[in-house]
Amino acid sequence: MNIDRKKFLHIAGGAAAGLIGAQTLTSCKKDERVEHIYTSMDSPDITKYDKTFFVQVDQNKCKGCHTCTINCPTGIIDSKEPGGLHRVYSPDGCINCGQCLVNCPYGAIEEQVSFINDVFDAINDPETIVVALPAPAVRYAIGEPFGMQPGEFAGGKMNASLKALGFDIVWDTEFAADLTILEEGSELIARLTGKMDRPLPQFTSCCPGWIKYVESFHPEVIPNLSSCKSPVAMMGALSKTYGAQNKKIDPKKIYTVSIMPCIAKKYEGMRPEMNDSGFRDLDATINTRELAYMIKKKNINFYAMKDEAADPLLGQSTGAATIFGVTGGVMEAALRFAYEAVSGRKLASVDLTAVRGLGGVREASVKIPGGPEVKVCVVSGLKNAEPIIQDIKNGKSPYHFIEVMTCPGGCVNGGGQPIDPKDVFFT
Amino acid sequence: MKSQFTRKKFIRTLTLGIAAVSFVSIPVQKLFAGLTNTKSRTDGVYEQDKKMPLRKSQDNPMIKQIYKDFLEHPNSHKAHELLHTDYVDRSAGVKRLRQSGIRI
Repeated sequence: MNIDRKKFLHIAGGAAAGLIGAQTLTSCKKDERVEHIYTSMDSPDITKYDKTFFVQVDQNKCKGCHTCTINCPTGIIDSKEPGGLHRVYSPDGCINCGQCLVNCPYGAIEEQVSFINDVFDAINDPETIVVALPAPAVRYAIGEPFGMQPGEFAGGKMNASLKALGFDIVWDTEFAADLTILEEGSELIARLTGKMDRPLPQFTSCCPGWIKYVESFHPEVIPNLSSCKSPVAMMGALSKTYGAQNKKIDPKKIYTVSIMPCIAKKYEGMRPEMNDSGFRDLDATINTRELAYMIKKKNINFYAMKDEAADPLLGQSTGAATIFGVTGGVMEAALRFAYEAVSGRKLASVDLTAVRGLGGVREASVKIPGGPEVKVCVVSGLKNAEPIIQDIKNGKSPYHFIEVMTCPGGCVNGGGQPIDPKDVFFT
Repeated sequence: MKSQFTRKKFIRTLTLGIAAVSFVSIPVQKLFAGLTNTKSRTDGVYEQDKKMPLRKSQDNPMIKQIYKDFLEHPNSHKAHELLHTDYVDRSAGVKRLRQSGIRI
């Protein structure tokens, strides 16, 4: 068979058109704008949790402005030469906090991992009991994509929307925040009284970015970390044991979805240690932006939702749990517990304003009647933790209990929270 | 020679000034925008804390229930099994990166 010029052009043209078509199709399927942030819709490979990039810079959109490096606590996001294109060099030095992403003025940083499709699949499967575990800080920002003011409480509407999305049970991570206080507070008291052979000061362990930072950069202070899991990790383990027993559900059928203001929680949920219930404790992790995306995708009118409470058994919470979402909150909640547990007296005023504020490092000293004087420190923004860690390594730290939150301001300013589109120059 | 503020110098200073302001202003604006949002969310949290009928973790009836029915007491054996964890030394990866010349 002879191929003349015309035939050759026919075949070549057809092949080119096919290639371009295939490329557009795959690229359309892969990336999605999730509340203004480009997010790859690929489900992550859980076994490769340590080799996964959770955020990466789109080289076509980066303008080399260096804002990401300024906001990065470790410096793993950088450019080879000044003003050049920035990128995350390796998953090893990245603690997945996402501060680069929420602060990028050009919307150039993208999420690389999303469980959205997995969660929709689980919801659509009638056999699976899908459990939502929303974090405290989510309810103060989830209203923003639907026109509510920043900081407006939307907990009731959030619960109602989760039910409307098709979640079978809403168990509140705030409940586990209360539980964390009892566990972590008791651990602190045991360390203070010498009943536990672990060093002081004790660090909080709720923040997954902080935990990975200690493990990667300062493994010497690992014994100072509280052995408590984060609230949502406790929640995952309890859902498939205590929750399943009481509701008489086969734990095999439970699919837990952790809903967080955070990107690093996706990494935490994929850790192999998180299987204490005999199953994967946390099957999927999504953030506030992704929840807003799902609610919009299902055409649910968020603002018109009637307030609903979380489901009983693991659903009730106190003020001490809701302040977990701000810097100083875990500390204040722990002190409200420790004061009464040690002294046996009622705390006159629960507002311990000494640990509040938005400063990078704040310290306070609390005299507990019948107990020791507890020196506490609150760190907001991981860069501020460096001198405190050095003090501990040199044996000079004056503190007993230190709270560290990676994101400046705490979880309410987390890497998974909605961004204000007015702050971004989209290209 | 006496230094004089010539037309050329004026234009040079002006251009450099404008360039500096426009380069710096974007990150600065971003910083403040982020902080104000954080501030209002923080205020919202403390406002809600004030409205809660119970404000101390140890008063939560469901917490009392779970310790009575399931966990026995804080830091019990069962609590350690389900609610506590161990951490892993991950510094090898960071060391490798530093050796390859990345400043972190």
